[in-house]
Amino acid sequence: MLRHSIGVAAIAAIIAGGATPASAAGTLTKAWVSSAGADGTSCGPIATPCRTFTGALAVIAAGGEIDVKDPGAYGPGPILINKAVSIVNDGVGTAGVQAGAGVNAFTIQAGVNDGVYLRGLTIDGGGVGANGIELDSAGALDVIDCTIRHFSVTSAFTTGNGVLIAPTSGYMAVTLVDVVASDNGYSGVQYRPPSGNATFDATFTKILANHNSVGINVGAGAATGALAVTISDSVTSENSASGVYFNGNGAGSVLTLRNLVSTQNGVGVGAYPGAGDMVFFSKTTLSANSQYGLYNNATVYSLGDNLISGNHADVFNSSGLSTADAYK
Amino acid sequence: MRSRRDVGRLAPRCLTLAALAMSTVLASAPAGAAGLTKVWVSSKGADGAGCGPIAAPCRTFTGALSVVAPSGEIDVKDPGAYGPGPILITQAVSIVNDGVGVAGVQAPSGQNAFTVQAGANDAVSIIGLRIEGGGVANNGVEFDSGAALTMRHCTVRDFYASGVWIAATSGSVQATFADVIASENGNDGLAFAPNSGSASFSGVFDHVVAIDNYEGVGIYSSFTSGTVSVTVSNSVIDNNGGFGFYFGDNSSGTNSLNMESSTFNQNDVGVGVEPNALTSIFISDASATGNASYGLYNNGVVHSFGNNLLSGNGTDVYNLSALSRVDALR
Repeated sequence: MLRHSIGVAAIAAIIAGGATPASAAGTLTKAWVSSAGADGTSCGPIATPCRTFTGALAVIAAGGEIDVKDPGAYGPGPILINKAVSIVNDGVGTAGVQAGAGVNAFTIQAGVNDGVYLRGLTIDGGGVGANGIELDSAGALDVIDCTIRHFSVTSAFTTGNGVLIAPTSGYMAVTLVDVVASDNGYSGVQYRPPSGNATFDATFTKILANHNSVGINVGAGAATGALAVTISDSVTSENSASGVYFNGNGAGSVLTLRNLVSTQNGVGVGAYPGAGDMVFFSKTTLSANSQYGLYNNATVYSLGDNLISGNHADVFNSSGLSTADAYK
Repeated sequence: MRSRRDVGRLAPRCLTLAALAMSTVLASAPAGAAGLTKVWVSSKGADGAGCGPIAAPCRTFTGALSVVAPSGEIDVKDPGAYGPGPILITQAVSIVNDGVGVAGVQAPSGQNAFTVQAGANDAVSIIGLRIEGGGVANNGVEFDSGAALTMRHCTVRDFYASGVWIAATSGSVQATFADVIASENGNDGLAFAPNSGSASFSGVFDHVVAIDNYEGVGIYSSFTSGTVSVTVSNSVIDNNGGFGFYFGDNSSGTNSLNMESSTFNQNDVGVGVEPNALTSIFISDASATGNASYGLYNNGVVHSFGNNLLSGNGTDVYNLSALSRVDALR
């Protein structure tokens, strides 16, 4: 729980520092991109839009917003984001970013106070790209109404992810809303600090993670920091290994699954909490999974309103499926 | 807990007074001078006395407001930046972007994007806009007076103070927020917080996402003598640095709060309530987990339907004995 006292300070700092031009090359607070645009030092106004997100990032100030004027391909990756910025397509049509073999579509290496916001993008790896969004550092990342698909795994954990969140220090908050993460060779969405003591809060809501190896993969085991993650109103399906996988490190992490449907995977939910970690299930359906509905390696808490049935085996270690923590 | 909240709010409020004065001086909208019931804006438009028809659209919301009739509608023709703030709304009006692309409003440092100072019977509707503070603008929407505020399918983010601050000091305000994302704001994502007066408030928050603010949604009626009625449903109020949701009513009103089918997770305090003795509070199908200090900080009486997940917090429930179980599900 100590984790969150760090978080409070960090969020305050994000807000206070939201416009700090720490790494700003550009000066515009608003830059447009268009398939009819052209990159250059003066691009950005709606009458003279930029052509690519990389071009727009070069002219936008820290804390600014890049908006999509019309449908187009605004990559390719790798697109490096190293400051607070929003990239927004609000329904003009496809705003796409593709990534070539072995590279990320987006790589985010921003400051600890920087908020990054992506909305309305179609991010496609074409079966060869490394990761859709690799988040190494930032204060906060919001991904809204995006599709992230078909990235290829060449080395476990670090490639083949729709979203890979891999900090090594500090505090980070990530929110995904209305995101489709599908057809990725490793994980649809993965949190995996490779080492260090990073702390992490995340809310994943209205997610469809389909036909990956792991749908939503929350793994803290390689590092020492705690996390608190909520997955709600979401579907994880047809993932060959697991719909949801959680590997805790005993630092007092909390994983909350609420109104999740995890079906037709190998394992619906694989839970490996450490001592001191807590996993809660409520209103969750685990069915038609080819191995286990719930593979429970320790103790997890059911609120008693979950449907775990119709799997090859419904629950591994059912004695560790505790209903002691009932609703209040 | 109160001291932290007050510290968080004081500085921005002082700024707000200055910003309010400036917005009154700077805004060019001649209130009531207008006549069109439908006015279009376009990034290719031009403001002026003849703007408004779809073939001759205005360029900015401020320009459109100067030609639209009371109770008229301003529609977005194509993607564009239709600010900057401060945009002053002094009449009933509806501003609508129905999915043409980004219709954005930004505001400079210390200014509001929108300031609403409408009449006691005026309803204001804001639909489909992206309102962005860049970390330096004051509030996304400051609502000082009017009968109703409806915001739907809007994003309000990265303001120095609050995403939406309802500050009315008189009358009765009905606010509806549906499909609104309020994030990364320095005070509240969405707030009712008058500094004085007698305003009553009815608020509906449905399918709201309030994340990464200092406080997600705050209802403060300590300084108004009016009554307050609030419903929060189907919402995600997570990852805020202080309270996810706060309801404090030291006034004497017969107030009510209903929280239904929402998450209040991973904040410092998921839900904090400090009601007066006349207030009824119900919570159903809610989740408060992973909050550092409290899941539910209950300084009054909260009626639970017994279907709430309040676990995995620093302390799950403060004043647990006053979490009153009602078996009233029928």
